[in-house]
Amino acid sequence: MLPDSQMLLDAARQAAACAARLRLPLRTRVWQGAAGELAGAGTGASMDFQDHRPYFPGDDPRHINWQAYARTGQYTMKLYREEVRPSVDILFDASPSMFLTPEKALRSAGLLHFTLECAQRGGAALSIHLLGQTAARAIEPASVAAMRWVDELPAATASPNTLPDLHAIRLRPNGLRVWISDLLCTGDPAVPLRALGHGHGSGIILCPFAPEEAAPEWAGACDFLDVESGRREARHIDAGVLRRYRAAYDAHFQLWKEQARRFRTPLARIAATGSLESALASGALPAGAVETGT
Amino acid sequence: MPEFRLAQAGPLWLTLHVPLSFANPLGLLALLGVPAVLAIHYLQRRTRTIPVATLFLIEQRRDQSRMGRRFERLIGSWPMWLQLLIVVLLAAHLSQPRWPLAGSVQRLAVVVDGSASMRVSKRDLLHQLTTVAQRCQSLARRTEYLVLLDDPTQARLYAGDSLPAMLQALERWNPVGGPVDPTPSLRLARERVGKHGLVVYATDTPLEKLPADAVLLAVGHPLANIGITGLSVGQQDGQAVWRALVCNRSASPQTRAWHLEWDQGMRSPDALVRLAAGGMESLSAAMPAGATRLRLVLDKDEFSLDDSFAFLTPTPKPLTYRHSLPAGLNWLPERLGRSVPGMAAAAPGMAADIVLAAASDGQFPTVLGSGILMSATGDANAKTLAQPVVAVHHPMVAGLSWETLTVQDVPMVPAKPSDVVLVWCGPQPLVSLRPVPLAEGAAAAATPAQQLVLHFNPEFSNMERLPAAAVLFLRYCEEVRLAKRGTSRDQLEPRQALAPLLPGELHGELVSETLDLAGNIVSSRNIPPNGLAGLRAPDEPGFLRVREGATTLIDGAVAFADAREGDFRACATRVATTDVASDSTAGDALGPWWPMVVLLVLLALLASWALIGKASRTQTH
Repeated sequence: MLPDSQMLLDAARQAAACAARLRLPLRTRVWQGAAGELAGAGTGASMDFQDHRPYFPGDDPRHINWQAYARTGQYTMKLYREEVRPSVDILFDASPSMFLTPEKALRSAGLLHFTLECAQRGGAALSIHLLGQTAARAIEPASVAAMRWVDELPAATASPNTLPDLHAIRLRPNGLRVWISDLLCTGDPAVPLRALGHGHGSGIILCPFAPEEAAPEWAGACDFLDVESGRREARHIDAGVLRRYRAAYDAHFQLWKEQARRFRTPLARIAATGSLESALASGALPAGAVETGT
Repeated sequence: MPEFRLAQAGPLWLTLHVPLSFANPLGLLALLGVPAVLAIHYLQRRTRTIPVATLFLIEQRRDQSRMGRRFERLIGSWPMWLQLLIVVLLAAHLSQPRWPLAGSVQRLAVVVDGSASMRVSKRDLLHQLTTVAQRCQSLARRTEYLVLLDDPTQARLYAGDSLPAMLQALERWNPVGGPVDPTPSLRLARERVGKHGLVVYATDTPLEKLPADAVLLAVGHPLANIGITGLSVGQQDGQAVWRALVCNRSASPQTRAWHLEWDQGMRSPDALVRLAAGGMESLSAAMPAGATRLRLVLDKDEFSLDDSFAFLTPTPKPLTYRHSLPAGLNWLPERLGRSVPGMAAAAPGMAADIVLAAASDGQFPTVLGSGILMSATGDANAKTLAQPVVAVHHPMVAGLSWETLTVQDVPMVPAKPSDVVLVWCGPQPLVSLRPVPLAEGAAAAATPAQQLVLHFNPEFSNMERLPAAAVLFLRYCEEVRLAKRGTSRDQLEPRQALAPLLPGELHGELVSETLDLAGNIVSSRNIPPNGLAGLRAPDEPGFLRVREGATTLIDGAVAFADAREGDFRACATRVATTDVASDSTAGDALGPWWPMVVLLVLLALLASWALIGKASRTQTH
């Protein structure tokens, strides 16, 4: 079920509260890009002293260290860190599985709002892409802030659970790519992970999950309805089937974690239960997907 | 009559030869709860629709099929299995399974209807008896069988403990008799098997009530039978003519072809006889010239005994008489010669079989052999005896009425002490049989001749017009004829006793031969002198000869003539048997375990409730 306005309001409220304590790891990296508020990879005009170097003709004389010249008689330049504005690309998986249960829908929406809040607080240049089952759509950050993004979700179509083609999305170079997805799809995880790191970018995966998926209590005759493809399948679930399902579920995410580790992409599984802050603290913080705000 | 409580409960055990029975087979009806429980679970258990995003992680079934869905709705429910267990335990409790005790013996006595109509149902009888016998086998470690005929005078067919041997004995058995009251044989069978044994009356015509706690095993079925009910040979226009009656015992008109065959391959053309439903038709034709052995043949049907009728050209054993009666009594020898078949006056100088003599001076003349003696005194004006005339109970006068006999009250020839008086008028003997002392050298076993004595003068009575007197004279002549040594040509029935047809005096060993139509010997056997009681006509219709040396004593034709046996309209199949389990042969299979069974039922009940409650809460959650 898609989140309604009340749920979006709750999600935004939880995200705001959470963003006051946690944030995206924007400050732990050195960015490149337009002038901004965060330290860049090069030298700039910020207040942060970075290094000394001999003077070369053409250097700005305002940055000559006159005290050093008085001591040594050599012109020495003072170098200051560059301040840049990072770019953050938010890739939100808008497939029906993200809204499988009300809790998971709330958590998915909360993560989107949290990411947006963190990026805005970090002064990042934002772009938001809603990834549908077959197509992606870029939306304005204001749309999320105004809680109108649900209306802009790509129309749901019955299609198999396959990985989205992130290469087809124009991601800005040197940026942070936050992929919010439950990863419940088939395919090689390396493909989207490689796309996340494309163009010197770095990626973060925030993966909401519902306990109904991780530890279901199915028993007996069940008529399963695949929310992605619309396919129905009647199955009798006994303890053996349930045990094998859980093993397959664990193996699925174990594979994703291994691949994410290989591509140095933090992957945080965010439980749909409890508050967003506690879920991020227990899932995203240890994975390095978020950091504390202090 | 006790009904078979659950005839269908046995086949599985019978097939598997599991020695298990049920004291109350109706209790097995509780097993109907099994499909009921399954149906309840099937109907109650609705599949839940569960939206998932991880269907690709659920393992794919190998037996994926469209029909699998309904079946799977019944799998894997502890409450269901527990409820099924409860049903099974309850069925076991109600049906009271019995296990044969060590050393137990179950006795089965079968009284079979020996009537000829049972030939048609013999195969069904064997099949049904096998089922009953196998059921008895399941009741005890050992089973004893006894097979009797409903006629208690007949020998038993089988006694022993082998079912195949019993069935073989019945297979060999050829019923030829008529209907007999089975009560004596059933009581005898009950005595033989005791109160715990099973007595079965096997017949083709169901009876409503049976004595001796016998159970009915009716194996007959209605049959459209066409048969010959009788045949006689008489004279018509000075020519011998045979006449047969053919009866249609069915509810529909029937047409049959018939022909006559005789002696050495002679055969008449086929002719058709059309019979209305339940109707009779008469067939008749002149006796073929020179024919001795004849057979009337109808088209065969399921009951073949009455589809042919073997008969002989009637040639009675000749009898001769001589008389020395006054003129007023000459009517008697004259009528005897005219009325008694084969009777003729003895040739001069030849011995007569019957001597007719009148008394003179109150004394009968001396007659050494058979004879009819009578008084010759009387007066036309004498009064008649006023006292009533009565007859004693004797075969010679059975069924005859003597009340109208008028006899003059004149002095009569007195009776001797050895006389057997047949007819009395007050204290006065009127008719008696007087034994003739055996001559010296006669065989001890020989039947003594008898003389018929009329103590009054028939001339001065109405005896000449009295029917009873004519019958008495005829009976006497036939008795003399029977005792006379010579060839007797008789029409016989299957298994008819032949000893009464033999002359009283036999000199050597008899030979009984069955003949074919041409008179050729088909089979032969010697009859020892002490085996005369067992000398009977064959079971199958045909021709027979009994001879003593070169002297033929009986030349007979055997034909089935019991019209009752050819009527199958009342026949039906009705298997009514009873629960034959008894304490003497079978013990309670679950006896020591009943507390455990009850405990199991209670535990299963509680567990089922608990599991249902838990499932309900889970569903709600």
